[in-house]
Amino acid sequence: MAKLKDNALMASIRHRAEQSLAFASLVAIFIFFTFANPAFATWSNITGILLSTAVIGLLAIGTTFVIITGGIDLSIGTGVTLTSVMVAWSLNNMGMPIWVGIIVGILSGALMGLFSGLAITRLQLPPFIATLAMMLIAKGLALVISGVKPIYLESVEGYNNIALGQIIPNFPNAVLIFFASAVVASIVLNRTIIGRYTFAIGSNEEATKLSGINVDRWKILIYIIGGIYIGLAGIVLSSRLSSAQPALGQGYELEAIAAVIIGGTSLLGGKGSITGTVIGALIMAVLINGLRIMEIRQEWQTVVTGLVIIVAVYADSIRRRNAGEL
Amino acid sequence: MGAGRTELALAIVGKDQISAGEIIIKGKKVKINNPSDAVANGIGYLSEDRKRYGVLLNQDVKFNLVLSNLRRLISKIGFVNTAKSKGLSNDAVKNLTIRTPTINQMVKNLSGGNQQKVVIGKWLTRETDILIFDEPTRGIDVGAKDEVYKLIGELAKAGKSIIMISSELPEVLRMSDRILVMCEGRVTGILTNKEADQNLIMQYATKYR
Repeated sequence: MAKLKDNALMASIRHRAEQSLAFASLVAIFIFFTFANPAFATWSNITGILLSTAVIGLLAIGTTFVIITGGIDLSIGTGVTLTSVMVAWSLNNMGMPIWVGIIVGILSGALMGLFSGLAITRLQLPPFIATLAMMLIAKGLALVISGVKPIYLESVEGYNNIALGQIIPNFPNAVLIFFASAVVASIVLNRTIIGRYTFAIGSNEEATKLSGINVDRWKILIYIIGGIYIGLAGIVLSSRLSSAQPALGQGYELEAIAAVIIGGTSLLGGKGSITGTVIGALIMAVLINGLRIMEIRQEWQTVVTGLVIIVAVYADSIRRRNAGEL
Repeated sequence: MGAGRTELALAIVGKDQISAGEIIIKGKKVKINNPSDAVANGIGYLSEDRKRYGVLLNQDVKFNLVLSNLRRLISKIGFVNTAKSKGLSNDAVKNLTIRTPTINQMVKNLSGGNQQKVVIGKWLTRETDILIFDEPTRGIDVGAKDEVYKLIGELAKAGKSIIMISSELPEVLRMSDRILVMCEGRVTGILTNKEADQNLIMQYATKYR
């Protein structure tokens, strides 16, 4: 009994430590750049960081669900391209009102999730393959629909307020959307039945199936949740740029997945949190911004991002080995 | 053993498809295409491979105990009632004497016997009527074995229908009212406990060998 109690206590301590480890890294990096350059810790720079986190952050939040099931969604990057093109096309080419454009954006993301989910469950393709295909499909469709040209939205009055307006003074709406979406996702993941099933599927899909849960149906729903966040990210991106760029988005999937992993969600499934993902996304954004402020060339910023991913995934595997999960 | 007992059980619970035969529960023919159908019809399967098909090792006791019953524990918009989940889990831990410090303990930290009890608890929480135990005492130490026997006996007394798959003859003779013997994927005999003895069972079990 005493041994069991120790284990429970240790597990809980370890869990808290992992969470605060990511947070502590964020604070440490922040403090480092604050001392390295006084221009870093200014309100305008901080909102700038948050604004630049919003798109990747939204993608990362949605894909946290998918990764906790033990799956992966590679289509979220070019998915942002497609959804932003879809919004821009409906606003600019079809002259639809903004609220319809928003629905079009979210629906096209949800549809992507639906198709990936169907391919994974009905055709039993591995998530990696199914979403790799979806990545190409989304990329191609974005090019076709946009005619390989940017679609500009400056003429759509008020559209850029979605991302750049300030309901709270000096605080861009995009950041508000990012945080609000994180809160909603966190509630869904921790308090609702779909959240429970997300963890259950990632922990042990076969046992979950035998417990009488229609795993296929829930998986499809989870990929649709991921898709809805692709749509949100596409709206925020196109609003921020007042345009849809048919070549912008590819590569975002890796940044988002990196954010999820840095935040402590395991690629093996069954474990993860939205708070962690938000911290992960902020770590990457703060790093890139800090390096930029220190006038390190952009090429090197990309190299650093890569190194951070290696460190984070390595830390994840060490942690799992210590926890006896590997 | 290659007798096809587990395969039969997996077919009954819809994990594998049946090509012939029918499933009749309480006089009514039912159609089971997948495990969800089986659970909806009150059949729970407890695999011999607990870690693979029974428990979610990386989740806590509470999570495991209410997993198959979650649909009854949610509000209209899908929020899980945590108070009810905790209540049900604590009840199950008490009734089954699952040895765990709290319901928040990870299942992987429990002993094999207690993991088995968590799986049983999962089905009792769901008020499942028919329980299929596949080698319920495999990989469990002797003391815990007796506990599992006692538990299965109590479940039967409480009105549950129990199908126990076992290759240990003393266990079979001790626990069963009726014994269905299989060999090479076919039913070779159905015996009552009274008429059965080890020799007779072995005779049927090796009929096609």
